[in-house]
Amino acid sequence: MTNVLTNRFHLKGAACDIQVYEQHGGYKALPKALKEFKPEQITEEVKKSVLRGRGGAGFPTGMKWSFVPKESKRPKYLVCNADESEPGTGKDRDLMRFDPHQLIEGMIIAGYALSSNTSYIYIRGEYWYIKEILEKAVAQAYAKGYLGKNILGSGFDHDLYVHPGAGAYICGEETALLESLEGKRGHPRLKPPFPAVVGLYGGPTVVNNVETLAVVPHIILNGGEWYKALGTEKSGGTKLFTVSGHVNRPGNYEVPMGYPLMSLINNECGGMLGGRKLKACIPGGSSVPILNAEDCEKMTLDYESAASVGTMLGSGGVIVMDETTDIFETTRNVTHFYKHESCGWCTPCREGTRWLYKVFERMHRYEGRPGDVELLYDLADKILGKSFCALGDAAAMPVQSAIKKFREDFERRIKHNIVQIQKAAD
Amino acid sequence: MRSNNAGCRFGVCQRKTDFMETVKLTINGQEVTAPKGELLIEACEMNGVYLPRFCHYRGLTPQASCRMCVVRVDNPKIPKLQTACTMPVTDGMAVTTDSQEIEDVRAAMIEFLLSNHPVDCPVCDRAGECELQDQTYGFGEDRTRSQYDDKDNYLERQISPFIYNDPQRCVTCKRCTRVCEEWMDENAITVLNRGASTVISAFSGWVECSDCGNCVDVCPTGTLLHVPYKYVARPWDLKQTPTVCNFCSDGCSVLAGTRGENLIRNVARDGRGRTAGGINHDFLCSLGRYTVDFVHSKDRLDRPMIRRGEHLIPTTWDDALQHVAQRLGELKAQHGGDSVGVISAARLLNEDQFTLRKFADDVLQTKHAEYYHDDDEIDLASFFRYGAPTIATQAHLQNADTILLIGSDPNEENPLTAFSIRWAVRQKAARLITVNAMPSRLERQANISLRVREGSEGAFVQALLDDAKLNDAAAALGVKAEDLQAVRKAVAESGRVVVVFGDELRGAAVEALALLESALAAPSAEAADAAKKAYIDALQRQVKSSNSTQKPSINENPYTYIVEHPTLEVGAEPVRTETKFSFLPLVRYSNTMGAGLVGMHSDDKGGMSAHAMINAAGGGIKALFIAGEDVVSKANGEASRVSTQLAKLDFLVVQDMFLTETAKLADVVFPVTSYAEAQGTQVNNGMQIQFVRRAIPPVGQARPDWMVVNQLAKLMGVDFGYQGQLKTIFKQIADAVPGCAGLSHNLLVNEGATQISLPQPEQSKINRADVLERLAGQVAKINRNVAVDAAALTAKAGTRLKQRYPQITQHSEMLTPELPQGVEAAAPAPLVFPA
Repeated sequence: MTNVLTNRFHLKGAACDIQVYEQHGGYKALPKALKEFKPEQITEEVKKSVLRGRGGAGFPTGMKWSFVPKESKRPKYLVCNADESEPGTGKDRDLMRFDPHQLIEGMIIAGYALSSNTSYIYIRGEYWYIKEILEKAVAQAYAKGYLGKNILGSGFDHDLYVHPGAGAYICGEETALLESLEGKRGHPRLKPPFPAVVGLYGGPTVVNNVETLAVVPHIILNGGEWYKALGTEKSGGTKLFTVSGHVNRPGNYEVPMGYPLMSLINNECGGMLGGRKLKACIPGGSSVPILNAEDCEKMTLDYESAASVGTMLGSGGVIVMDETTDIFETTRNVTHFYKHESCGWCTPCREGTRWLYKVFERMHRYEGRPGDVELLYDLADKILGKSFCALGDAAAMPVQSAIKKFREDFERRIKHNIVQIQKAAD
Repeated sequence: MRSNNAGCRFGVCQRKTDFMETVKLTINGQEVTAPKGELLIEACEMNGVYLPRFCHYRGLTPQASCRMCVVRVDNPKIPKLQTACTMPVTDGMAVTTDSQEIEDVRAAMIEFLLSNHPVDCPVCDRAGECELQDQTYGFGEDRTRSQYDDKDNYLERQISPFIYNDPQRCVTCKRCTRVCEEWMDENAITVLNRGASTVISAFSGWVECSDCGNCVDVCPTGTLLHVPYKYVARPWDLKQTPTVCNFCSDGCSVLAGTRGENLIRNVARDGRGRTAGGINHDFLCSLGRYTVDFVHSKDRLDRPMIRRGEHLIPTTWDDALQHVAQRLGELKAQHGGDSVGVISAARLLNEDQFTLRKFADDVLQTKHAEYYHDDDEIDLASFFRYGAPTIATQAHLQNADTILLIGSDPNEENPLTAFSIRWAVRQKAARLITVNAMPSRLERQANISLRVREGSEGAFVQALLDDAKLNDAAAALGVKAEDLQAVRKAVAESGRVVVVFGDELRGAAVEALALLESALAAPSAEAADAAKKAYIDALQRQVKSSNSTQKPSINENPYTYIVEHPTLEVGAEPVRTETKFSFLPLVRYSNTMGAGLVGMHSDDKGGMSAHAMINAAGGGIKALFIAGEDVVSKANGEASRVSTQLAKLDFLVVQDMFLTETAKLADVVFPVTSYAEAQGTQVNNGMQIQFVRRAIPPVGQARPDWMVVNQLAKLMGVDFGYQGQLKTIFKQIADAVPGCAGLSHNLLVNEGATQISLPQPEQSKINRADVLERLAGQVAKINRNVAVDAAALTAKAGTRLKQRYPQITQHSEMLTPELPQGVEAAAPAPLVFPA
């Protein structure tokens, strides 16, 4: 199996120390990038690698970088989105706690590519212990001269700060993250202008996921073509997947793009728990549409295949559910999450998620009324595509797909309406 | 009434566009034009297509949160529906606003909003002028799928002495928080919590702010409500009369809501977006909005009173008038006309001032008649000595390139001016320079802020005028010379400069302002020519557009005065002036300018000032006729001396709304009308003459000031020829007062605020050397060794208003509110709901 990002994971966190990291091939890419590449060439190399954003949207990273204007009156910024809050996802956590220098090295190279002198790691508030690991690593990098003024004699300056969030899911949305980083309430911003033009403190800003930035040193060392060849034609490289749920060995697994989903479940994860049958799978974190067993057979882990079965690769949080699972309950749980995390900015998301959850609640109590399933579907429809940012869509898609594919789980809640049953008993 | 545009529900939008570039776009298949860069929602409205909205409010930062104004842009590259409130129009754009798809979205958004709305319209004060109601009728479904148990319930609560908050009614449009931040720069209210628990509140749960109440005006629902208006009236019962506020000299228009004979509320903008069409658009301050209750105070004088020994005894008008006419006649015969003095309050309307002057001239034949003003007020006589320098209106201020604020704190004393300054800085990137001894919140907006020694503001004018004396002036001001140099350079290089000055500028410094134009003119001849040409072009366009627009007439429907420009517009044509410098003197009272203009001063006749008259009481002055002024309370620290002086008089007549300290000493007291009951004209600090409309009939037996004086004159054998009509008085004013020729009440009603233009100062007539010498003398007197006591100055800031309006502040319960029990002891904790 190809280990690109996880090739130092077997050290069990020893690579947090800069010397161990250097012994295992660390900080080789940075000198190479500074000496052999011009900033534009790095962006070109990343474009060649067909690296797509690993945070969820899958936007081509090289293209994102090239949107940043060359000349800017205000400073440019690079922000690492480490606010990993998607339910079912934990890949960035391991990337940061087992190999923080890989991320830091990637960020310095990315900063060089963007001619940005300041970068931030916006880390999820609950990852306070990882923040400490990162801060220690940053201090070591400063001490070794990989950060600070005139890095390795190249004349390039770069400062890196670690900033913790305060626990809002919406702050994983890139513009809300920037608002939060500026010290304001975490609300998404109006786009356009996109952050690449007007971002943090009004300066051009690139916001990338941890995994995306951690890949950069490998692309510099081995070339974009090499990275692309690891995966499929349109989705290059490898990706980390967090597998959770009813499997024998849940955890983070790095597999090449285009790897079949069922192989991931059956080989890497050791098959279904207790040998039970697969019922459903959410392939990319709670926000993406759910798959039934039939679709899972068809799906390979790349962006195109995901789209063909009507879901998305998202952040790579694979949630596996066996035949004992009530999909109504899982969807209710997901909806509670979105109701709780909606920031309250726009009408459909604020009121829609609240209303959705209210309906879920009464169905959960077996007090569902005839027409509630249709109501749920229609409410989700009214949220989908009308909300200010993608959180509304993320709340609506799981509901719609679950109703489409597992309608019987929903209908049961109405068929067995407790009020009617009591009436009949009386 | 202006023709109501078919698609427009809250007002008519036909803005002048002939000065800007336009683009062509297609709305629902019809090709239309719109100003370049205009937002699509506004462009649609200008062309008769009203798009529903909650969060969009012209002039505030786009928010795009209510999702009501979605449209389909007919462009395959834009697959999603777009919000029209964030999309600028571009040439060749094609949009659809009326498809089934869009109607469904609007209905869905209304359903979402109502899913957690209490729908308690029968007990909501906003019902009847509620945008949520209107939008639901216009764009919602006639049924909802939400059930009662779908709703979360929050308690209504009071969050400030003036504001009630019902979180459940909120549509979270955040107009209020944006107004608080962008108009007022206060950030007093904010949103708390997240998601469906989002509520509007203050950081501490109790709002600490200047209580301007604009957040309540712009609220589209009943979430925020005025405390004084709560459960008092329904909007459809109110008669809305556009009139002009009587407090500071800015002269804001208000919509006075009256029911029967009662004044219920003053708002700048009612729930349907109607404004009084004044210079303040939809802005109003705390004093103008919340002090309506003094009008119906139980302390109002309701009939004339006459002194019988120790006591003032109520009497009839006939008795009182007869008595006054007889006594004044006797004193005049005995001691001559000059033994009687007439003092008026600067807040009285032009018609009152003019009649009082006439009374003094023709009836009493005294030269002592003056409006009451303190020595530390702006010396308007010096300011206008050589002619009238260009006076800046609020529109000038909003379009200035540089604003120079010398002295005063407009935030407190002239809130509209402060608003205009903030607006100019925020929206037009104007440069603000403050020169002030006292701390002011406006310094936050300032590019350069000079905190100077108290009383040294005159040295700043000297530094502007004379580069050579800059170092000396810097020493006098207590600032660094390079800072002063930077200010001078900025002013010299700038385009239109508006000098806003308060009463800290004294004597020769005020006079020297007229010299600024010649000292710091436009940087080059070409620039001067270009400015001149732009001014003339603008004038011509103005003439053209005023000929083409149909003006409303008061006779058609004065009470539904819907205006074209409810809010300030960033894209509006800048107001230009002939000169580079224009001046906004922040005089103290609503009609200080007008009182001087109509001749209620004794400068040219050699009469005594109001203070001199009081001091001469018992000597040269045997009787005083005081209209509307409480001279005892206003004499800071000298109240007992002034009352002793007044006691020396043979005869004292006072006409006022309340039994003031002065009125208590009077021999006869006449009850007169407040601003809500009076009709006439007043002139604001921008030299704009405005029509004040009567909103309610006089309270009790009160009569307008001019009427009392007119009746007295008749009894004393002189007929002013008014024929009992206000219009006739104004005709006489128009004939007599320079700059008012051709004006009439009808014209003012139609035109709104009209600037009186007076001849510019003739530079050749100014004795430059003399002015500069006197200014130098003034500067030389400044004690440069005095250390600046910042704490004392801070304590002093914010105390001046109560001194200015003792009667109002005393008799308005809202200004000295009795808070709900326990509020002060423990402010309510911020609302945080369990998730």
